[in-house]
Amino acid sequence: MSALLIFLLFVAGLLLIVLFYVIGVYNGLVVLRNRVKEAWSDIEVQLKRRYDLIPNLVETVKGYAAHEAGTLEKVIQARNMAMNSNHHSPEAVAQTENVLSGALKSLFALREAYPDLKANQNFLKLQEEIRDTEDKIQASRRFYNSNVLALNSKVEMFPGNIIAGSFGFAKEQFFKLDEAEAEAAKKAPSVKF
Amino acid sequence: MLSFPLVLAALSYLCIFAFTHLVRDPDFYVNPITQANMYAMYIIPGTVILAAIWITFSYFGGGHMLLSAANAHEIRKQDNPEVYRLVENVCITMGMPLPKVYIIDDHSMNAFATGRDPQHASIALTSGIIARLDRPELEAVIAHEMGHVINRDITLMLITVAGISFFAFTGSILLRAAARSGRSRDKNDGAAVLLLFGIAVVFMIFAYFIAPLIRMAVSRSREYLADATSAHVTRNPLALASALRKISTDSRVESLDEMTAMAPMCIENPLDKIGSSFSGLTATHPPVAKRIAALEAMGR
Repeated sequence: MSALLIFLLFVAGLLLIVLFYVIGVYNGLVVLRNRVKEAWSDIEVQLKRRYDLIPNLVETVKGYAAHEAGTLEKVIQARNMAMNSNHHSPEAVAQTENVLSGALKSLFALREAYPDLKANQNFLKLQEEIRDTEDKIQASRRFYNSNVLALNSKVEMFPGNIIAGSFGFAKEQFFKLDEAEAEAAKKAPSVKF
Repeated sequence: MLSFPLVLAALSYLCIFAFTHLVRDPDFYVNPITQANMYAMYIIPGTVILAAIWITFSYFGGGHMLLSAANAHEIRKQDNPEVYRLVENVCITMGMPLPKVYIIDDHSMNAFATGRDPQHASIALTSGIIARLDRPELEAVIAHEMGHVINRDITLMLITVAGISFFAFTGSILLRAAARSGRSRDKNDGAAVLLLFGIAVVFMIFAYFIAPLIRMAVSRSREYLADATSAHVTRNPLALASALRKISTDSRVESLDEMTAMAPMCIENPLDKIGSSFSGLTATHPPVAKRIAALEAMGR
């Protein structure tokens, strides 16, 4: 075993170790990125649930509060805008969702003015479902954000960031419903008779 | 995890070595170590396999025992939508599939989770805890229990308990074997019997004194971990703190009085205050005051 051979084997061994490390980091990043994508689609599922509940709600309210056409129109418009907006950017989605939450808040405020509406079983059930959907949007948002945190940390930290950069792993955006709006969105349909 | 089979193998070898002194033909001399090795080839794998079977049964069956003992009945979404929705939301936040939800008809406040992994989990809540805590507090308790599942605490406990009981079982068998061989023919066997006896005593001490201490320490640290998981999931550590304050006044669940091994899985000790230890090394749960203080520190 000449010295040269030993040296070459040593270098080869070192290169192998580096290769395995790079593969490990790359695969870890792939897993994290896919988790973020999956978490985002979970949010979309909850958003869609809210969109689907709204037409029913509008119809129920229309029966009792026909004069409030303006409020109802706003809700429908906000809903359509949210549905048709570009759902790939969390920021854009946060904006349209906040508008929709605001419109829904005004709609639910109508129950004070129309006691018949307040007593309607269908309305109450829909209110419960929408409140639960908003809770679920918050829950899936938290899950999404923790996955984004994990991915972003891995992409930023040294020496993984070199690998991340060379293979095109980018940081993802957090889904931030504006803090104040988030509070409002949570409180909006809470029932206090 | 690895040390358990190694310790078991080492102790088994010692026992076999002791046995060969008793069973050898006194007329001609056989190297005791060679003879021990011969037996060991069969016996050591045998004991390790037995232990593995023992543990596997506990692992798969452990959860059901607890649920049937507590008279829990499973609910569907329509039976109690509020509670069901809370569990759903916690699971969405943690990225876990939904567990089976059970309710125990008991006025006291307690909750537990069982299940070897998130895909096979169950959570049980007493009707008392549902009625007496408000929504954020109940959500925090549910998050604490699901935290146990996701941190694999139940698996850890089941394997630990099964491992310890295996030591106790074999210890008692060895004691009986040592007692029988005590009536032996020649002097040389005396040492072997003593050795066997000694090993049996070590097994018993380990099973009844040392292992429970280890188990309690592990149980306490996992409780803190589950508290932290709950605080992280709900973003509201003070909710769990206030829930714990309410629960500590009345956590006893009568139907669980016999199940001392399962106490660590509940959110607070479900056993009678007199019957079980509530402080120091033998407590299954950390003192409530300490848990609340830790949570309040997180809340700042």
